[in-house]
Amino acid sequence: MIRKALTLLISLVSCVWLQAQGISLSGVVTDATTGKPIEFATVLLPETEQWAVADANGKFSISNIPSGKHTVKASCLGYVDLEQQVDLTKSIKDLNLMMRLDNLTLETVVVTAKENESSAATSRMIDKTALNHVQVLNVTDISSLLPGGVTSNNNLTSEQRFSIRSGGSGESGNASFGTAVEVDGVRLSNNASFSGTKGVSTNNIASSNVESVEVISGIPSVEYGDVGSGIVRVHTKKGKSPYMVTMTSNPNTKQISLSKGFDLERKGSRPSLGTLNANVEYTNAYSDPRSPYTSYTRRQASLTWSNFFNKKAMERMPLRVSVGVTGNLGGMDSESDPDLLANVFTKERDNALRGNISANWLLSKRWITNLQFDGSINYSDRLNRTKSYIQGGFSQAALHGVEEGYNLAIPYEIDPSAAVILIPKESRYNVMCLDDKPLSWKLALKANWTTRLGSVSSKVKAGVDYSGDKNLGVGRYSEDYATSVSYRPYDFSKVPTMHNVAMFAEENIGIPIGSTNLNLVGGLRSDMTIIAGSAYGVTNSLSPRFNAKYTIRSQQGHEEDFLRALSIRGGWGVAVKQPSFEILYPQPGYIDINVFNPDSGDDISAATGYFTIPTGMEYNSALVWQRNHSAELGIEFDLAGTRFSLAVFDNKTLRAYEIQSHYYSYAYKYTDQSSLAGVTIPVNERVYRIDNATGVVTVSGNGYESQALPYKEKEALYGRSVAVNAESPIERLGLEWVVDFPRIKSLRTTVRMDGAYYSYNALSTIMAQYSPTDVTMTDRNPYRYVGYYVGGFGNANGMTSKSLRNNVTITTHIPAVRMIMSLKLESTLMTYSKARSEGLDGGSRTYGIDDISDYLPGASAEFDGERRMAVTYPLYYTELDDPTTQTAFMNKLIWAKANDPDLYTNLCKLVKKTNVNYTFCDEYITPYFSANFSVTKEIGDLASISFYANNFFRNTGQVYSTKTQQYSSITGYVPSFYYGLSLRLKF
Amino acid sequence: MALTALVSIACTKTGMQTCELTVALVNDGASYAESGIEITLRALSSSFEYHATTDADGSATFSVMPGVYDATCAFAKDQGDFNGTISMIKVFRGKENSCLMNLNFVRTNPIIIKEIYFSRCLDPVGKLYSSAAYMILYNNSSEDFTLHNFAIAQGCPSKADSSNPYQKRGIDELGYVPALSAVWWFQQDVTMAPFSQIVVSIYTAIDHTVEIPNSVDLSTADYVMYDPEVFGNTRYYFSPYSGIDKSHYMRTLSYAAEADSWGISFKSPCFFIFQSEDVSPEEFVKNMANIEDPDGKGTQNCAKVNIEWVLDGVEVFDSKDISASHKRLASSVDAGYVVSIERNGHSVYRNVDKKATEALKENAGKLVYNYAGGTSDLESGSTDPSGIDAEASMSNGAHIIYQDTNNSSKDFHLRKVASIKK
Repeated sequence: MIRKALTLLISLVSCVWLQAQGISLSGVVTDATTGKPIEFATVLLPETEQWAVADANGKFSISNIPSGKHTVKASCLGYVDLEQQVDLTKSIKDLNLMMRLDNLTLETVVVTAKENESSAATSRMIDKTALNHVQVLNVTDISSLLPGGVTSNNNLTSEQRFSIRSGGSGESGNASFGTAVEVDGVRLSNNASFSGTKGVSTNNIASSNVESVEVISGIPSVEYGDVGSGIVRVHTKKGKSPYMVTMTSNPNTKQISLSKGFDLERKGSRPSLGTLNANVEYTNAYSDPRSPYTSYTRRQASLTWSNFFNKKAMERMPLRVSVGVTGNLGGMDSESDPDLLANVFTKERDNALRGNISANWLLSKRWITNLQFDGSINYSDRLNRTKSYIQGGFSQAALHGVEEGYNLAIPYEIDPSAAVILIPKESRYNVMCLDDKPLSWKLALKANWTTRLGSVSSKVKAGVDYSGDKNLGVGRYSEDYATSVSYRPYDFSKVPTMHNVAMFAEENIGIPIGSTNLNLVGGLRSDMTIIAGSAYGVTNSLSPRFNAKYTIRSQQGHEEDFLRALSIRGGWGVAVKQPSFEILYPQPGYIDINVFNPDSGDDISAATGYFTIPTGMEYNSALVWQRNHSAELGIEFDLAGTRFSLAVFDNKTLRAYEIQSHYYSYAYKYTDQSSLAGVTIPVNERVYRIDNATGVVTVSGNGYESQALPYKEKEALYGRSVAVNAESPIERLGLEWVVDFPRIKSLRTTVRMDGAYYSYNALSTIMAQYSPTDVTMTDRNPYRYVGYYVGGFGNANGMTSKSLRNNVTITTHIPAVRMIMSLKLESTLMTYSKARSEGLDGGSRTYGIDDISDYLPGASAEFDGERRMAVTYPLYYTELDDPTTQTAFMNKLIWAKANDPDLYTNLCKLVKKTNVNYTFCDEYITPYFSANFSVTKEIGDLASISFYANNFFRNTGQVYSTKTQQYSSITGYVPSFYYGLSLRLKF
Repeated sequence: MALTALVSIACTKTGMQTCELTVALVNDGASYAESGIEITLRALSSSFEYHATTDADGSATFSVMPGVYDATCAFAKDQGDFNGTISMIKVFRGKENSCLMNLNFVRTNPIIIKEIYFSRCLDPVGKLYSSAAYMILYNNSSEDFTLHNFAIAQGCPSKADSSNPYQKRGIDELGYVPALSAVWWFQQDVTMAPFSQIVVSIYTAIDHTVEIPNSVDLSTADYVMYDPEVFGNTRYYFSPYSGIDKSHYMRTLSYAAEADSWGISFKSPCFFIFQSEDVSPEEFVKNMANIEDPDGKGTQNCAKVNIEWVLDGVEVFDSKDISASHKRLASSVDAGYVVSIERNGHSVYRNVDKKATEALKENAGKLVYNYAGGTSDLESGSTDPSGIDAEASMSNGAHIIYQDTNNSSKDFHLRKVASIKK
C-alpha cells in the first residue's frame, strides 16, 4: 500500500521535472561486410523505449531524446543484434551502425541460453542459432537449455507442456497450468478447456517459424497477468529474409518448411508497403517408427505483415504496425493397423487459428513517450473422434437421462428421448466425439512515459487489458446415438464466458550512484474477473511486484581487472492464476443405480431399470483464485573473464485448486429377481413399467392383469465433486547457477557449466471425505460409512523432493570452417523424494503394522522411514443416516475387532493399506549421466546442416533406488539413444 | 567294433552325457519302500515324458539331460489310491541329483468337477468373447448326494503364472486352501441323483450362440452365479434366461477389494469345491478371522478353507506359460495340472475311468468308443486315454464313472468342443 503510493509520488515528481530535451540521433544502418544499407532494421533506445526503422537507404532518425548516456540497439532479421553506448549530450547526426550477418563466421556464437542482463528479474533468451543447433521441433525442447535443464526426446505424439521451476506432473499446485505461453503477444490460454487443469500444449506451434524464445522465470512485469510461475514468450520471424527451406528428420519425426520475408517494395521513390513474412510447415511425428498408424501431424501456414509509417506528418511520430495470422491443421491420428481386423481409431484434431495485431506509436511527447496497442484472438478446435468396437451377445443399457428418477431401458425406435436407451444384442461400431473448442481473445493498451531527472532515468508503464475465454464446443456426443454407450450431454458452449479486465502501473527507475547503478522496478496489477451468470460473479485480486538490481561494476572500462563486473538483484511478487473451466464449471455428475433386472427372453434382451440422481455442480462460495508468492535473489559477477550468474528463488503456491468429493445419502427401491417368481404372464409377452417417481415396477401383458412387483427399500451414499482451495502452501525453493568460462582461444572452445538445485515440499491438511460407495456390507446392503481423512484417502498426504543437476557444455566454434560443435554432459547428482503422512496438530494418520494381513497397528506404530507396511485411517467417520455424529475411527476399529466382527469387517474397507513395505522410505536415486553431441556446419551462405545425437554414449546402465532397494534400467531417466538431422537452405 | 567304440567315445566327448536323478517315495515322513511303482518325469522345456519304476527301497533313477522337470506318480492300493507330485526339479550336471516325493492318500469324493469352460472364443469379427463360462458338477457314484453347506471357489492367484503370494510359505504347508475373492453357494440344499450332473453358469446364462456362433448355449444351465447386488458388472452378468428358476441363482459375498465381478482366468484358472462343517459358507466368509490378505494389497484377499472340507479341485496351466506357472492347490487336493489352449472355445473335460465304467453291468453294449473329441492333434493338446466317448455313451443311456486320482495331469484332457455344444 505504502509502496503503491510511493510509486505514484515518484511519477508525479518526475512529471514536474520533465523538460523537452530536443536532442536527436540520426544515422545509417549498414551491413558491416558489404556496406550496403539495411532496410527495415529497427533502432531502439531501450531505456526510453524510443525507436526508429531504417528506410530504403538505411537512414533512421530519433528525436526528443532526453540528454545523457544511452544504449543504442539495432536489430534486424538475419543479423546479430548490435548494442552501442552513445553519449547524447547533444544531437548526433551520422551514427553508422554496422551490423554483421548472423552466421557461424562470427567470432562469438552462442548456442546456449543467454542471460538477459538488462532485466532485473531472471530472464533468458534463446536465439535462432541455438534453436537450430538443438533442432527444436516442439518449443518445449528449449527447456534443456535452461539451467539444470534435462534433454528428453520429446515426441509430438504426446502433449508437451512447459513448467518453469518445478518438478513435473507428479507435483500438486498445477505448475504447468501456471506457466504462460505467448506467441507474438498472443496468449495461448488453456482456461476454457474442459480436458483438465493443465498447461497449454505447445504441439501446434510451428517450430520452423520461431525466431527466438524468451523465458522469464523470475518475477515478471505487472504487464503479464493470469500467470502462476514463469512466462515463455515465443517470437516469430519478422522482416525481410531470403527463401529458407528447412528439412528435419529424426527416427520419429519428419519436418519440412519454407519461409520467406518479402519486401513489398514499390517502384520509384514511393515507400515500401512493408515486409510480409510467410511460413509454411509440415511436420509428421510417429509414436512407433515401425507403424505409421499413430501419428501427430502439424500443417501450418502463417503470414505476418509489418510496416512502419514515418513520412510527412508522422515523421516525428512514427507508427509501427504488425498484423499476423497463423493457421494450423493437424492432430493425432491412431488408426489401428488394418491387418488386425478391428476398424477402430482415435483421431484428435489440433487445429488452431491465431490472429494478432500490434501497433506501436512513438509520440515522444512531454507527457507520453509511446503507445502500444495489442489485439489477439486464439481459437482451437480439438475435436476428438474415437471409433470403438462394442461387442454384442446380449442387450445393454445406455444411460443418457439428466433428471432424477427411475427409468427402464427402452429401445431407441420406441422412444428416442428415453432416459435409458436399450441397445440391441448385435455387435456394432460406434464413434464417440468430444467437441472442445476453446476461444480466447485479448485487447491491451499500454503507454510508456520515459523521463530523466538529471542522471536518474524513469520509465513509467501503465496499461489496461481485457481478455476473455469461452468454449464453443458442444461437448460429448455420439455419431450414432441409437447404439452409443452411456454418456450425458454437457454443452460447453452454454457455459458463461469468463472476462478479465486488468489495469496495471509500473515504475522503472535507474539511479546512477557514483560508478554504480541502481535499478528499481515496482508495479501493481489489479485483475477483475467477471463470469456472467455464474455463481462466482465478479472477483478482484491485486498483484504487487518488485524487482531491484544494483550494478556495482559493469564490464565497460574494467576489461583487464580481476573483478570485471558485479551486480546483485532481487525481487518479490504475487501472481494470480485464473481457474480453468474444469474448476469453475465441473461437469455435472450422475449416479446410476441398477434397481431392476428382469430375466431375459428369447430376444436376449432385458429392460434393466436404473435410478438416476444428478449429483449437480456443487458451487463452492469460498473458492478463491490460486496465487503464487515468489521471491528471488540473484548475483552476477565476472572474475577474470569467468562469468557467474546465481539465482535463488522461493515460490509459494497458495490456495491451489483441488477437486474433492462430498458424500450425501439417498434412498431407493430395489426390485429383486425373487419378485418375478410370482408373475404368471409368460416371459415373451411381458411389458414392464417403472414409476419414474416412486420406483415401483409393474408388469403387464395382453389379456393379463398388471401386477406391481414387491421391492426392498435401500439406502446408500453418492459422491459429488466440488472445487476447493488447498489449505497448506506448496513450497518450491531452488538455486540456479550458470558459469561461463573464458574462451580457450587456441582450442576455440568455451566451457559453460549450469545447474540447478530444486526442492519441493507439499503437505495437504484439508479434511477430505471418502466412501467406497460400490462395496456391499456384510448384510448385502450398500456401504454406509464415510471416512474423513486428513489430506485425502491416500497412503501419503504430502511429499518432499529434492534434486541437484549440473550440466557442462563444451562448445568448439571454428569460424574459418563455419562450424560449431557442442558436447553437453548432463549429470543428475541427486534425486531425492519422500512421501509424508502427517495428521493435524502433530497427530498421526498412518501407523505401521506387523503382518501384511493386519488392519490394526502393530506393537510399535513407527512407519516413517521404516521398511514396513502401514495403514492409514480416517480421523473419524460418519454413518449414512447420521452425518453429524463423528466417531473417532481408530478406537472404534480396535473395539470392533474384539466385540463386533461385522462392524470390524465393514470398517476395514475404510482403511488404506500400503502395497509395499517401502512406501515411506527415503528414496535416493544413484547419480546418472548422459551426454549429447550436436554439430552445425554452414556450407557457404547457401546451406547449413545440423546433426545431434542424444545419449550418444548409449548409457544403458542401471540406477539404484534406496527405496525399492532395486536396480532399474536407466531408460526412464536419460533419453534413449536418439539422433536428428536438419538441413537448411537459403536462397 | 572299433567304429562303435570310436563313435561312443566321440559322443561322450561332445557332451551328450546324461545325468542321474533319483526320486525317492516318502509317506507320512517315512520312506515308502515298495518296488514296481511307476514314476513319470516330465521335462518342462519339451513336455517329453520319462518313466522309471521304483526299486525295493522305493527309489527310481532317471538318466536325463540337465534341466527342469516335474515328477508325478499315481497308483492304486487296496485301501485306496495314492499320488504324489514334485514340481520344478532342477537337474545339474556333475552333482548328486535327488529329491523326495511326498505321497498323499487320495480321498475321493462322490461329487467331482466334470468339465470347465473358460477359455473364450472368437466372435464373427475376430474379437474375443468372454461372457460365457461354465462348470459342470457330477455325481460320480451310484448313490444320491446332497450338497449342503456347499460352495464353489477359485484358487489364488487366479492366473497360474502370476506371482503367487503363498509360494514362499509352501502351499502344502498351509493346512488350508486359499479361496480368492469370493465363494458361491446355493440358496438351498441340492440333491444330486447318481451319475447326474448340474451345469453352473459362471457368467451370463443365455443362449450365446445367437450372436456369437462359436460360443455355447447356457440358457439351459441348471444354476447361475448371479448375484447383482454383490457383483453388478452388466458386461459379465446379464439377466439370466427366464427359463432358469430364480431359486437356482447362487449367492455370494465379496471379501476382496472393490470388484464388480468374480473374475476367472481365461488362460489358467483353478477351481475347487468344498463343504464347510459346523458353519455355512456365508458365515464362514463373513468372519474376518477366516480371511487373510496374503500380499497386503487388498486385491487378493482369500478365505482360508480347511483342507479337510475340500471335495475336489482342478488346476489348469496355459500352454504358453507352463514354465512360469506355479501350482495353487495343495498336492493332496490336486497333484498335477492340465494344459489349456485359450481363445478357441476348448473346454477342460475329465477322463473316463475305463476300468470302473466297463465294470458296471448296466453299461453293457452302451459304451461308445473311438473318442475323437480331444485336441491331441494340436501342440500341447491332449485327449482321453480311455478312448470312451463319454457324452455319446451317456446319450445311449450308459452310466459313466470318471477318473478321479486327484491329479489333473492324469484326470483331465483338453476337449476340442464344449460338451454342452451340440
